[in-house]
Amino acid sequence: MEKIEQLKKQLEGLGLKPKIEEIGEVLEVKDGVVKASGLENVENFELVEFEGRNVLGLVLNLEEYETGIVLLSKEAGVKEGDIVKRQKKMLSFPVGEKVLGRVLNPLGEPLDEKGEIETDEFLPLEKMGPSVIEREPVRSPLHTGILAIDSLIPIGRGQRELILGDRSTGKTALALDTILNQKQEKNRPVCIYVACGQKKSKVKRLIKILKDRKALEYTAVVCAFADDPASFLYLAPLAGAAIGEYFRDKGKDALVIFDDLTKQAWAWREISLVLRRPPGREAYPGDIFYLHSRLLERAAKLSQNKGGGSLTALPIIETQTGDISGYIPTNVISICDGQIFLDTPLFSRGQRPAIDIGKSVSRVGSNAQLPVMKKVSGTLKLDLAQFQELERFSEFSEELDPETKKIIERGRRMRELLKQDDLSPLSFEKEAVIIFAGVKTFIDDLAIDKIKTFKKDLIEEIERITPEILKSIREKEDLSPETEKQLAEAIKRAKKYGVKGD
Amino acid sequence: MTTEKTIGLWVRALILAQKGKTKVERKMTIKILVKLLKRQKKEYLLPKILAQFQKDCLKKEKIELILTRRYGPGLIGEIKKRLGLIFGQDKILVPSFNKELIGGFRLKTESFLVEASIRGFLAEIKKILWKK
Repeated sequence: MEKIEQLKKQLEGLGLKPKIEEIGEVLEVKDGVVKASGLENVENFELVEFEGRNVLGLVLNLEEYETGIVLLSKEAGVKEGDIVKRQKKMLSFPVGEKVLGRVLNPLGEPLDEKGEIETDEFLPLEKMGPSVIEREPVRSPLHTGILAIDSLIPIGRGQRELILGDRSTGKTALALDTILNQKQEKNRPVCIYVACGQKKSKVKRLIKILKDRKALEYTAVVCAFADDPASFLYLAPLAGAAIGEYFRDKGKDALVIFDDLTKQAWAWREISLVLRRPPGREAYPGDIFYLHSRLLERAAKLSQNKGGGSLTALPIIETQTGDISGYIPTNVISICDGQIFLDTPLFSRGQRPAIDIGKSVSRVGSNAQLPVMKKVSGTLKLDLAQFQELERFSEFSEELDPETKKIIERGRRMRELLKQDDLSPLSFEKEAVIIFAGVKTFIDDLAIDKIKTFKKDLIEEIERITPEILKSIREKEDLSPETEKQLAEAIKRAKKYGVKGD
Repeated sequence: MTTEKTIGLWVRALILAQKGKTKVERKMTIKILVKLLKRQKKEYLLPKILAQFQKDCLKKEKIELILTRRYGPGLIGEIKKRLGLIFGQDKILVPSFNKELIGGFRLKTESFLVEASIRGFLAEIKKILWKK
């Protein structure tokens, strides 16, 4: 009886009356793009349906006598003469709390076999970003859990920080660590990972890691795999942004990672070439900049009037042979509020994360750092830059004065201190403690190969003997003189007992 | 410009030139087309242009009426008359039969479709149930 009542409710309002639909006819099908005649009143970015094929299309080209439609399905089976009907609605995506913990495709269809997404809320994929008045400056930090980033290239909530580097330099690892670190953050942001053109095995591995670390419960994954149609790769980042916007507009914080936008650019180039749009530089269409700028402008920190929510974007771009002066990298660099550059030679030398501090920057900077991080890493970037300069100089000169040698040795230890294992993000209080040890020259007398063990010993020591240090930093978000004294003592103990124990 | 595009442009020009013209004027338009093609040394395109023109005109003027069973000529004539009043007398009504519609009818022109068949209604129900 319940089933019958349910069916009755679903079919409420459905009357047996003729339906008038605006239609067109398929003229040509080529490479996932359909040319259709008719559809006189169709709008740009409107959904259309191919009758009898259970296939949807997206209108992208409005020409005088034809409409260019990109297919939103792999197994289309669309042929010449088929009827195409207007749906009179824009492509939208399911959003809401129910999307968290789910794996979806860019059409909002679930891929994780956990059933349909039970939500009544949908947002359009294409949407303008907030206006200038609706925004406010970025002030609160987004901790990635990575020492080098949180101290030297701090990211704020509402910022767009680009991650770029060659293949296999740790870009996805960096993004994954950021998601995992949000588990221990207060005011935890919702995370969205957009896999655009990635291998299925890689995405599967990533989802497993998120699940095992209990990070999937606050993460939504949008997937457009390498073997999906170009339309999916084009739409996936837009879908991720739509999910993030929902939480942003509700006054919450959200983090969206686009991995990676290079594939989206390639897909848009493919679609544009098939639509016969005039190709520009490197065969990209003229609006390739606009594709990324309108996507990334949706990431913002909203003013208190608008709820105070934020959407932080970490777009990823893959460079070729370290060339950051390529067309797409330079476009996205100019759009974003900073970049993190991962260098292949550094990676090969064992410097992981392989962040090139010289080429990386955060335009928000210390405005988005907690007082404790600002205090401990105040001159760190300058010191490291000085060290790199002197290290290069030392390759040409054998005789160095004691002061220079001291700076070089300290710099080497700081560099070793900033190394971090994969999938091991640190809370900001632990980061502050470690950087404090380095900056205050406590590690100057340690052998470089002992620094990794020292870091571990220091944290264990503090957690075991003086956990109030971490508690104080976490609560006050600052380093008081008493806490500094206690920390100095803890560091000395860790050096004395921890290292000698090896 | 590709040959297909050239043919497409000539066909559209011909359709626009023949709009609202009498039979004699239409014949004159075709003669002008032949002259223009000769001038541009593209007479070889004429058969393709005329074939495409015929196809496009039929598409514009055709009204396809799909019924579920064969009705008498009297009823078909009455339907033609009524459709002529709505769409204009220059339209060509093409009745066809498809039992798969189960009941009702479908009316298809170049730019819209009137779905009034039982099959269409059932497809609508399926869509709603599938969605939920």
